[in-house]
Amino acid sequence: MIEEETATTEDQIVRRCQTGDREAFRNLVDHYQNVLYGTAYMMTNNRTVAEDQVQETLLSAWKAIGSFRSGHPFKPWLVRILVNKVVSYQRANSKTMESVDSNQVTDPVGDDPAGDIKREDQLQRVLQSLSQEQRQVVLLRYFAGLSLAETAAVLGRRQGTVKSQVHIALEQLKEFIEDDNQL
Amino acid sequence: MNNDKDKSNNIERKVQQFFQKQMESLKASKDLWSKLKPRLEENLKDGELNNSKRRFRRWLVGPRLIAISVSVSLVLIMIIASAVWLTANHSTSSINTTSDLAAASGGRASVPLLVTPTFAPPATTITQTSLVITSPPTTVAAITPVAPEPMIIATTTSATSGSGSGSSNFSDLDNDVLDTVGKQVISQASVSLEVTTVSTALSQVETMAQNLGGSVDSMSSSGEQNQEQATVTIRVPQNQFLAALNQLQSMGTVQSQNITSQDVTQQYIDLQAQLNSAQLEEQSLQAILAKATTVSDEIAIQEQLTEVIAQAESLQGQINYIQNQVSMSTITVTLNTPATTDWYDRLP
Repeated sequence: MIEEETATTEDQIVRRCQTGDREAFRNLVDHYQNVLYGTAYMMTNNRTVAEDQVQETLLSAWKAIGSFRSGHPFKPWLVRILVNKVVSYQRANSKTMESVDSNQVTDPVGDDPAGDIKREDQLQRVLQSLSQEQRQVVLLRYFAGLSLAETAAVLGRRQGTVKSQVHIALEQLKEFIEDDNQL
Repeated sequence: MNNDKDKSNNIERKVQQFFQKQMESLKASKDLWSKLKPRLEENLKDGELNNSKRRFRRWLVGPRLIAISVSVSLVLIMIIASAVWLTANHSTSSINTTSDLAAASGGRASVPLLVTPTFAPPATTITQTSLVITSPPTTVAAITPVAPEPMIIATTTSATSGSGSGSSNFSDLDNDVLDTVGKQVISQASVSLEVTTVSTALSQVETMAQNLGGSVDSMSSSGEQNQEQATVTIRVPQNQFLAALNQLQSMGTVQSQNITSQDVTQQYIDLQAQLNSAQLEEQSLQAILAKATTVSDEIAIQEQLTEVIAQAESLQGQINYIQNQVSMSTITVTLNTPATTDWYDRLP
């Protein structure tokens, strides 16, 4: 019931955006910016790139919101734009990304009293143990909170394939998680 | 079994909890909106304009585009059909030369000559010219009386010896008879000639075709000496069609002639309209393809585009074929030597 109400409210907000209401769009940005940023970061392992890609995603969404079919879930649509943006970016900057990644790994931990960077490294270790396809599936399924069908639609894969990839990824993560008491 | 499922659910839950923990530390910067806002404002005006354009394109693409294209095509067809009909009516007066033609062939006209096809838009019309002439009995016919039979389209029967005598003379008709102004008319004829020497006549036909700007399409011959028979198909420019028939008559004795003209204007206009529609659709798809954001969209659009291009190419091929058939008329000439009459001389 609550989900239905949320969906109706979101649908109304999207409709307002389609009429050019910028404040309505701000509501959507506030609601989805963290999940977008987190997904982008975990795909790129770079805060600056992740933030840029989130901005590009939101700008594209604003431009294309007129073509969005109201009544459909908005989050998968938004995440699909983000994934396309990030994948395009990675393709175009594959060499640069490699060097950025290596810099990121050697970042000092000493200036991080809250332990954020350490936690991020752990996270990256977990994700790096997966293949790229499995990593994308796990991120969308468990971090972005998409359903199997939505994950399949965003990645342009069959639902059965996604289900299988989730299963294999969980099997691989099993040992890692069981060994890591902090998880 | 249940134990495995529980383990799997447990792992799934742990992964979810793990990501929830990470979510707390992975937050977008607070000034994201302030960075985004100027860019949105910059695109607001353009966005509104683009949205309007996009909505219009979405409204236009699909069944509506087809409906509009068909409507426009129908209007065009009606306009062209009216113009053709008016032109056809105007030129009918110059065609009633039945009596001249019949007189030239020494016969009588049993049906008025109406070479101009009747145009009845918008239904497809394939009209054949129709002229029926009966010839008086000739020398051979007097020996073996045969009731003169009507033949289709400017057809004459004659066994009168001497080149061209007794045959219909097409010089009395000019090319207006075919009335091809503003129309797409395919003209074809078959002529059967009795000649003294088949091989000589064959070379004459070939030379004639080349002199008129045409060519020999195919040629075959059979039979022994004095009983030779040959068939040659020539293509001549449409404006030389009647000239070619006249020259053929002078090469021997015309045994039969069959002239047909097929009005394919409607078919031609339909094909052009379909081609225009396909080209419009191709342009629309190209525009949509350029704006596709995902690979799956690109593939889907590309598939549609391939189909439309293939359709357009097929239509263009059909149009080219019609144009070729219209611009070059086909005449099939059958040549044979006179039948021997030795048996007649030996009769008591």
